[in-house]
Amino acid sequence: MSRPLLEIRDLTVHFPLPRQAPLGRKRTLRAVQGVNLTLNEGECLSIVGESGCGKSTTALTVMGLQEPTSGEILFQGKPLTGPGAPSRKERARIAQMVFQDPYASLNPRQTIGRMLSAQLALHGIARGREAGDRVAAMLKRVGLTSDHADRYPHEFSGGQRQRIGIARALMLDPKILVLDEPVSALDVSIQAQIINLLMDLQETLGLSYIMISHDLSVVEHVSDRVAVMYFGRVVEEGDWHSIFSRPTHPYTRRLIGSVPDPDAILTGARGLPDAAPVPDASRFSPDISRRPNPDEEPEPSALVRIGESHSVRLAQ
Amino acid sequence: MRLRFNFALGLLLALLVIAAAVGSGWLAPYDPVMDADLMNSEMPPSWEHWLGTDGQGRDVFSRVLFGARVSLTVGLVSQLINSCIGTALGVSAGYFGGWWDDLVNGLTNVMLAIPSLVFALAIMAVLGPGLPSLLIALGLTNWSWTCRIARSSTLSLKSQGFVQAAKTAGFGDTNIMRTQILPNILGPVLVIATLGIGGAVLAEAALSFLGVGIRPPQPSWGNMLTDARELIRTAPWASVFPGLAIFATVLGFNLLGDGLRDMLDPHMRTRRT
Repeated sequence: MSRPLLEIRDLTVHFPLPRQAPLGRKRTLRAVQGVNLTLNEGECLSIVGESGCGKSTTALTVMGLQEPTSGEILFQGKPLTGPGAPSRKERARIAQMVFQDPYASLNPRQTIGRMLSAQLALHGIARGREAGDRVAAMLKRVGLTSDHADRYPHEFSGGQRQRIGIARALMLDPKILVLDEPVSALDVSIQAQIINLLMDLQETLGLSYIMISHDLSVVEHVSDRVAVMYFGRVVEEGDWHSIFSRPTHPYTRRLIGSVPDPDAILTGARGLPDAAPVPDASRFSPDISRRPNPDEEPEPSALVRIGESHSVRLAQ
Repeated sequence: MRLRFNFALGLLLALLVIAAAVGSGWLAPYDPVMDADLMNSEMPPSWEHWLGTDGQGRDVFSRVLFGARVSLTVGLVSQLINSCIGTALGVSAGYFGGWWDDLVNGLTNVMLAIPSLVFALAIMAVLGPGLPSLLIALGLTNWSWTCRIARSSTLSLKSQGFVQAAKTAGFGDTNIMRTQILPNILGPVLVIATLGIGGAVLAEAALSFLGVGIRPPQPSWGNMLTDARELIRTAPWASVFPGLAIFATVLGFNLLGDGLRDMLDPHMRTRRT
């Protein structure tokens, strides 16, 4: 098998918490605890989980917006973190991000054209007329028109803004696009349009996606592989078919069970698919009924392979 | 509509002060210093002396016009210095955080704790009276509000998607502060600055009133008030008109600032067209 495009190895991100008493114990929020993920070329990897599970922190670390506490991220075998990491400018050509909130992600005082062409100028790709042409082409590519370039962000709707966000992310021709809840702030009807646009772009440009989402119905449409995160750990990982047809970890089952399925309700055939057989199902870990205590070390656990490209976290 | 009226009034008052300052050489009927006529002191307003004469028989109208030069220079220049210092410190502190933020914060708190007029008074005592030292004294002592506003606005902008996006696009920190953060905090900074211009005009008046600002024969609105304070019963015009000039200037710049803020806001721009 060829080398993966992006490898996240044993990534850990800790945030110090304020002590409860002046001389109390040091407390740590373990936002991301030993996450291992790989992204292959042309693939869409989805990271799902509830808010606070560390999925966004993982994405920010990939983007270089958050320093990892330990672990490393490799792009085509070269480190993206720590010493030897590329500069901010070099990194920009590798990965770009589409942000969740289309309203906060565009500078209200910059026209769309200025915002997009500034990137081209910074990286010495194009200037002046040529930059304008590239901007116009990119706007058309994401379903807008070239005269939108002279407008300010507040003149656009949420869906249009998200298209602009995608255009911005694609301007430098990156290999990886990190999509942080790209549609969760949009109307359902607009969501489908944006999802379709993202899938088209992936195909025509050969992009690789890391999609962060809490919405499984979106994930089901786009992803090739799914990683379920819970309190900073990956609790189940596999190709989307195994995750959706044989959800095994209790948390994954709870997540999938929460997706409304009108067909199942109408036919009365409500129910979850069976879990995959697990060597010892009593060893699911971490304990999914309570929040981890920031004062304690977490229980040791490991991802165990239970099928071809399907693993689940069990206590050791 | 009301907004536009306020802005127009502010612009009118500000232009009036600027015109008075620039054109005082041609407009003033008398020399503000040399034309002292003790025989005609404390004359009420008349056709010869539109705003009357002061205790030494100098024309109040001419002195008010020339005083506008001092007030306007002090107001604009010292506030420009304040705004630059405050914005630079506030934005960099909010953006970088860490020890630099702590340091700037501490400095701001010290500046806020000492009344700025007392601080300016101390600087004036060291530098001696005169216009340049007045500019320095007022320019170094009133940046703390600008700094606070700039810092807190930067903190809230820093976490927004477009600043993060600029980082991921590879822009440097200076570039991000200049193109992403600065345009978005210009509104509040400008409003503080216009308030500050009024404040600096008042502070100049106060310092001159206390005798450490502009040296006496030279007219400034502050030292005109000082000279006229003993005449308030016999010749009220000698203090009322410089006072009105201060009032009009402060009001004018405040209204102007409010109007500018609304016009700089792109939201307001489309709503109007």
